[in-house]
Amino acid sequence: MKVEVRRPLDYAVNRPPIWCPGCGDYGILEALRRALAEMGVPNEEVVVVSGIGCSSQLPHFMKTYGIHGIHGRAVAIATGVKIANPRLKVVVVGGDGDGYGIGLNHMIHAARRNVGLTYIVSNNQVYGLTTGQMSPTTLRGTKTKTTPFGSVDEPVNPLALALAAGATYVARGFSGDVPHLTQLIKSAIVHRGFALVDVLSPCVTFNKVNTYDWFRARVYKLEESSHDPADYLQAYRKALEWPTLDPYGKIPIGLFYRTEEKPTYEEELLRLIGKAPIEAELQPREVLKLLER
Amino acid sequence: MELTIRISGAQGEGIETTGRTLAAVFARLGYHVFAYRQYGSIIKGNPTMFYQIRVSDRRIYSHGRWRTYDVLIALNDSALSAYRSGARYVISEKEIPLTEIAAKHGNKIMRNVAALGGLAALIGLDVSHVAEQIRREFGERGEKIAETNIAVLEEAYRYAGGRFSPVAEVKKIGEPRLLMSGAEALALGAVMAGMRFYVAYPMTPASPILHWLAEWGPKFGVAVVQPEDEIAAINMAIGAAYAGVRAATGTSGGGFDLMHEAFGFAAMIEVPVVVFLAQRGGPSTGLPTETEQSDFNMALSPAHGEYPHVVIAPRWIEEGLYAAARAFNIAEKYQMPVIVLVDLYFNESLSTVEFDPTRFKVERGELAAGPLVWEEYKRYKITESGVSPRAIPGTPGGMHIATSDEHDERGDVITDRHMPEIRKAMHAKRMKKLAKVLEEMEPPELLGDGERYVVAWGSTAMPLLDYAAERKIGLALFRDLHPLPLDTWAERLNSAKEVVAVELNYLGQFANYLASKGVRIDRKVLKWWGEPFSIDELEEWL
Repeated sequence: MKVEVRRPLDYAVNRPPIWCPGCGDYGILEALRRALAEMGVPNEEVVVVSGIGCSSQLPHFMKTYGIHGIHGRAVAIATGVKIANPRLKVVVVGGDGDGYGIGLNHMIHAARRNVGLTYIVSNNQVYGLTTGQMSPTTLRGTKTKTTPFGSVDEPVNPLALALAAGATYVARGFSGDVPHLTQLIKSAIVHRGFALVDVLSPCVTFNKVNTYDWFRARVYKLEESSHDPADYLQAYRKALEWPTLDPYGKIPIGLFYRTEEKPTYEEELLRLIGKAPIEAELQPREVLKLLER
Repeated sequence: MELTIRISGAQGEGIETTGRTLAAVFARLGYHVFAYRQYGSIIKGNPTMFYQIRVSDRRIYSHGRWRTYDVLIALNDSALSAYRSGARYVISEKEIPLTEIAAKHGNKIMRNVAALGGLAALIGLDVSHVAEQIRREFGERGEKIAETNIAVLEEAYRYAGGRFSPVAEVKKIGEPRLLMSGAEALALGAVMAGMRFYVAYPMTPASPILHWLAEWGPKFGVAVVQPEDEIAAINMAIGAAYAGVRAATGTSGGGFDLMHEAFGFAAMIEVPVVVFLAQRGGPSTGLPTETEQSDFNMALSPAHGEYPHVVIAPRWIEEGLYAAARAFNIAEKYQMPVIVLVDLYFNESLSTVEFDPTRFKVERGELAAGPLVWEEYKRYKITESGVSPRAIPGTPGGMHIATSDEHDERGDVITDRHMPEIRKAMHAKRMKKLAKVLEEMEPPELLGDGERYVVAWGSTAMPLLDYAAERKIGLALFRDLHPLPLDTWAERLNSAKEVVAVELNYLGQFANYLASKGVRIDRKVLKWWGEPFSIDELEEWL
C-alpha cells in the first residue's frame, strides 16, 4: 500500500471557519487535522459528525465526509455510520450543550456499548450560537443571559459520567494547548472503542469567566503527575477533582483512563452477522430455505 | 368450506400459542387462513382475550365476523358468558372435562391442548395433524413435553369423539401454505430487499418486526440494534443510510412523535431511510394493544417545514411482503425518507400468503462511483429530476458534508448570511423530487363495478375485500397515499352514485385528504374503538 505523507492542510477546505476570532474551536480544528495527518488517514475514510452549535460547524471545515446533524443527536448518527461501515474513522464533534445537555443520554449509551467513536466535546460552559445562555457545564453562580442572578444548577461532570457509563477512553484537553490536544485526539482515534475527549475551549464572546488565562492558571498535565491511566478508580478520583470537588481549583488535563480489554459494539455485531453491513451481500436463497421450515 | 373458530381465555394461559398451532395446522392442510388476536395491555389476566381463526378453501383476507362464529372454545366462565351467544358450537368444561384430562397427564395448564382435541373431533379433523404440528413446534429438544401434550390432545379427542359426531370435515386440500403475520411479512420482505441495518425501540405493535429481525436478521447479515430511544433509533438509521447501507427503523405513533425532527433531517440531507409506522389507538399512550388508523395525518406531515417524502400503506398481509422492497427502492432512487404505514391489525394478524421471490428487485438509484474529483463533485447538484448522484463514505474524492442547515450544491452551509437565490434553488430542487416520485405512485386498486364505491386505505382493505366478495359494490383501495396520483380513478369515483369512505379513526382523515384533492366523498363510515371492521359491521353500515 502506498503511504502518503499528509499535512494538516490536506484535511482543510478553502472555506475559512466562521467562528469568532480567538474561539477555542480553532484549536480543536487544528488539533484534529494534525492528528489525522500524523496518522495518515485517507480523507475519504474519515466521517466527522456533529450536532448543532458553534463547534458543530466544524465538519464544514474538514476535507472529509461529514454530517452536520440535528441538535444533540451526533453520537446516535455516528453510531449508525460506524455500525454500517466499521472501517471508517468516525469522529464526533459538538459542544457541551449539544452533548451534555440535549444529547447526554446518547453519550452514556454509546459509552456503555463501547461504540468505536472518537467524541470530541468543545466544552465552553455556555450556549454560544444562541448568544450566551447557561449550559450544563456552567459553573454554579455564573451569570449568563438565562441566569442573570447566577446559575443555581450544579454542573455535570462529563468525565465522571463517561467513566461511570463504561467509556474505555476518557481524556480532557485544552484548546489553548494544541500539541497536547493533538496527541489526545490521535490516541483517541487509534483507540478501538468509545473515546471521550472533553476539551476546555473558551468562548471569547459569551463566557467572560472561563477564559484562556483562567484555564492556564489552573490546568496541570496528568502525564506529568503519577497518574496511571490503566487505574479505573484513580481515574474516577481524578475526574472528580474539577469541577465536582473544587470548581475553582486545579484542573487535570490529559489521559484519565484507557482500556483495550472490552470488545467494541461493532465487533460484537460482526460476530453475529459475519460481515460488515456495507460489505454484506443479499442472500435470498438462504432466506428461502428458512421458509421451508 | 369455511369455518371460524374463536378461542377465548385469560392472557398468559397460552391462548395465542393454541391459536397459532391451530392456524398452522389448517395452513399445512392447504387452507387459506386468517388469525386475529384481541388482547389487553396486561401480561397475565384479562379473562376474555380471544384468538379468532378463520379458515376457508377460497382466498380470504380477514378475520370475518365479530358477532357470529362457528365454534367457541371457552377456557373460563367469563369467556363463556361473554361469547357463547355468537357461537354455533361451544367447547368448554361443560362439554369436555378439559382440566381433568390435562391434570391427569401432569398439568392442568394443558387444558388448551385438550380443547384442541375436542375441536378436532367436532370439526372432523384427523387429530394426527394437530399432533404433528405440536411435535414440530416443540422440536427434538422438547420431545417429552410434546408427547405429554399429545397424550392430552388424544384423550380429549377420544372423549369428544365418543360423545358427539363431527359437524364438518377438514381434510388436506392442497399443498401447505405459508402462514405469517404482517410484521413477519414486512421483516422478511425487508431482508429480501437488502436491508442491512434495523434499529428500533420496543413499542407495540411495531415490536414483532424487531423480534423477528433480532432472531433471523443476523443469519442474513442484518445488524439489529435496540437503542436507548426512538430518537436514537432514527438517527442511527440515518447515519447508516448515509454510510450506504439500506437502513430502517420501526415504531408506533408515540415513538414516531419523537422521530419527527430527524425525519425532516433525513429529507433535508437527502438520505434514504425507511420507517415502519405501526399504528395503534391514540393519542398519547392511547390503546396500546388495539388497532386504529389515526396516524395518517401525522404520516402526511411529520416534521416542520416542507420536504419530500413518501407514504405507502400495504393493504393486505401478502402485499406487506413486497412493501419494504418498494419503500427502499423509492427511498434510494429519490433519496428521501419513506413511511410504510401499517397498524396493529395488520402487524399482528396471521394470514396465509403466496411468496414470489422473483418480485424482489433492488434499485439503488444514483450512486456516484468513485474515484471522484473532489474539486468538482457536487453532492447536491441541481438536476432536472432533483436527484443528485450520492457518494458514500469511502469513495475517494466524494468527500462532502450533509447538513441539516440549508446548503448549496456542494453541501456547504449557507445560513451565515442571507442567500435567497441559493435557498430558492435548493429548496425547489428537493421539492421537485416530490413531483418526480409521483410518477411512480400507483393509483388505487379499483375492484368490482358498481354505482357505489367504497374507499379505504391500508389494512381496512382486508375486511372490505371479504365483504365485497359476496356482493356487487365497487372498491377503491389505496396503498400509495402520498404523493397521490390523481387520474382516471378520481373521475370514476366522482361519477359514481355514492362514494363511502371507510377508515378506523374519528375524523375520516383519509376521506378529508381525498376531498381536499377534489374527490367526492358522500359518506364516512368510521370506527375508533380499537378493533378492525368486520364483515357483519360492513353489512350493517354500508
